[in-house]
Amino acid sequence: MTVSLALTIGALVAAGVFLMLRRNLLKLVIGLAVLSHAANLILVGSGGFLGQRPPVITAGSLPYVDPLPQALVLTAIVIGFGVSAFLLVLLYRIYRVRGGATVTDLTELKG
Amino acid sequence: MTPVLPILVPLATAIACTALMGRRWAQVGVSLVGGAGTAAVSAALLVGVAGGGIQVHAMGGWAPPFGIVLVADLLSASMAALASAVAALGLLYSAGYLEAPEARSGFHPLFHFLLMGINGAFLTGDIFNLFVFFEILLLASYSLVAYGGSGAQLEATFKYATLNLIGSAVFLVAVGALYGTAGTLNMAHLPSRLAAADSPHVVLAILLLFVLVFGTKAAAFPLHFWLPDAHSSALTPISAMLSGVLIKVGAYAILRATSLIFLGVREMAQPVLLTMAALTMVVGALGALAQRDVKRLLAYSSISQMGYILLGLSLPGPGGLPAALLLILNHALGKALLFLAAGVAIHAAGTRDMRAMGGLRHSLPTTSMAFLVGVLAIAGVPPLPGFFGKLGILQSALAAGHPGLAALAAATALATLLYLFRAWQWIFWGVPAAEPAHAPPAAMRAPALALAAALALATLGLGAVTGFLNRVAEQVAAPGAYVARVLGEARPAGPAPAPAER
Repeated sequence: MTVSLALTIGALVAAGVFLMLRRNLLKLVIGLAVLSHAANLILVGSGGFLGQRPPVITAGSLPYVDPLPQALVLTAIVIGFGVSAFLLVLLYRIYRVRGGATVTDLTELKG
Repeated sequence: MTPVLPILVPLATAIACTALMGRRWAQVGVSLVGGAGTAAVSAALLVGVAGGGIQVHAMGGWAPPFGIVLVADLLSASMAALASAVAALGLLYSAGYLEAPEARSGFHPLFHFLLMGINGAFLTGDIFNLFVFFEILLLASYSLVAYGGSGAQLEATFKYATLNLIGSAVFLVAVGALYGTAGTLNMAHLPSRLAAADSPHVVLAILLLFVLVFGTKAAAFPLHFWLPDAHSSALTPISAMLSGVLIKVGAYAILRATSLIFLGVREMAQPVLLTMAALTMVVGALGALAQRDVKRLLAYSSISQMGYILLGLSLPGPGGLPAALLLILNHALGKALLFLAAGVAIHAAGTRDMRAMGGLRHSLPTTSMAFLVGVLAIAGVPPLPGFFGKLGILQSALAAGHPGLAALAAATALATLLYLFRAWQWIFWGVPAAEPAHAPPAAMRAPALALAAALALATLGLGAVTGFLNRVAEQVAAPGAYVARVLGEARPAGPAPAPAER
């Protein structure tokens, strides 16, 4: 389980970074979303996979899975969803104002 | 006065302002009352903490370390009070600044959500809750930087949001690593659990991940590239809020991490922190020297001053921290003042190019004086607090055996003096370029004067201010009281579930 999770996280980070290095800003936004999902999976993994049972405590329910990382990830997913929505709207506005959505359309400000 | 109110009042105001969208003056009235109310409850919290010790509120009645706690110690309460006071003045300014169509939509709700996120980030005692409040303040600040919808604002927001989203992903990774190592996320519970960790190098790696995240918020070199664009493109009251208050959240979080949570590996991280701080200081000043646009100059100056603050926070020895706190106060008041006064000048002259302004001392005599007070404060001219802050940092750098850092700090102070006085000269002296385009309303001029008066008060009462900041620094330097107060909190009645201990 841990190995397959680690491989999945690695693949997601690689895909996210690759997408973020594209010229197209929409791909950058998708890459950011993929990257944040990789971070969410790391958070899931941080709870470990010690228990298999649901964390409802009755007699003999040990070992149960640690519920905290799952609650954290749920929060992080919701926040990531909101931020992605904002970023897509922002990108659409940039497309309307600048007439394009590639990195070369963002060269008015010089850092 | 519980630590909940500085978060709850802006939230309630934001919701009320959302309900009043479209009714301009009703919304402005509610917003101003809410801003003043937040400043009042934050100040009352600070008074309560100064008199009665650290206050802890267990959210939902779940006892720490299992539930989320809000903790108001002297540091977090004074940061929240400072942020709320600057925000109230920023709101007053925007009441006069916003034109009718801009005022009608979401500015005021977003401003209060921003304030809620800032106060929450200062007051929370839980790392993941800090992440949530960071996201609240970031999402509000993205929208506020983009407010106005011009191409430059959208571009600046996109850069700002992209960099901070990467920061958020790293934050989650760091939280995961922290929880996997320590099995808790409570700031008071973490130090003892991390001390029991197998290897200090794992803990150091987690600390450096957090420094990366918080450094992005604090605009520390080499993570500062978003700041000049975002702070110069945003509307003036937002620039004042971002530069005056928001970047201090990053400095505060770095201080919390190194003085409480990761105290055990602070020594090992020191070379990284000191190098980062010194480069931030120098790079910001060099950038500011090259600017002709007044808001970009002030934005680069913020980076440079953050370098001083980070240097003070990271230096070993007892002198650095109180000096850094004094600089935080000085910069929050002084830079907000400079942005607001520059906004008045831009409004009057109709341009942001300083060389095209000139001679505004005739039409704006009080604003010119207020700007000068801000220049003196940020440049660190005695007897303003900025001088004593920078002096303290120089002294503690020398005492810690870093003469190179002290020399860099002194050189940066000279550069600061040069670019700020040159800006004042360009804007307010010389021959008037043209008749003033607009006469700024009183609501725009008043906040800068109030901030100048606050700086003057801080100068007159410098003994009391430094005495208080020394108390704050002593409390930060001895985190035992914080830990004992949070973990010693009485357990609430009722059954508490067993935690999934690892």
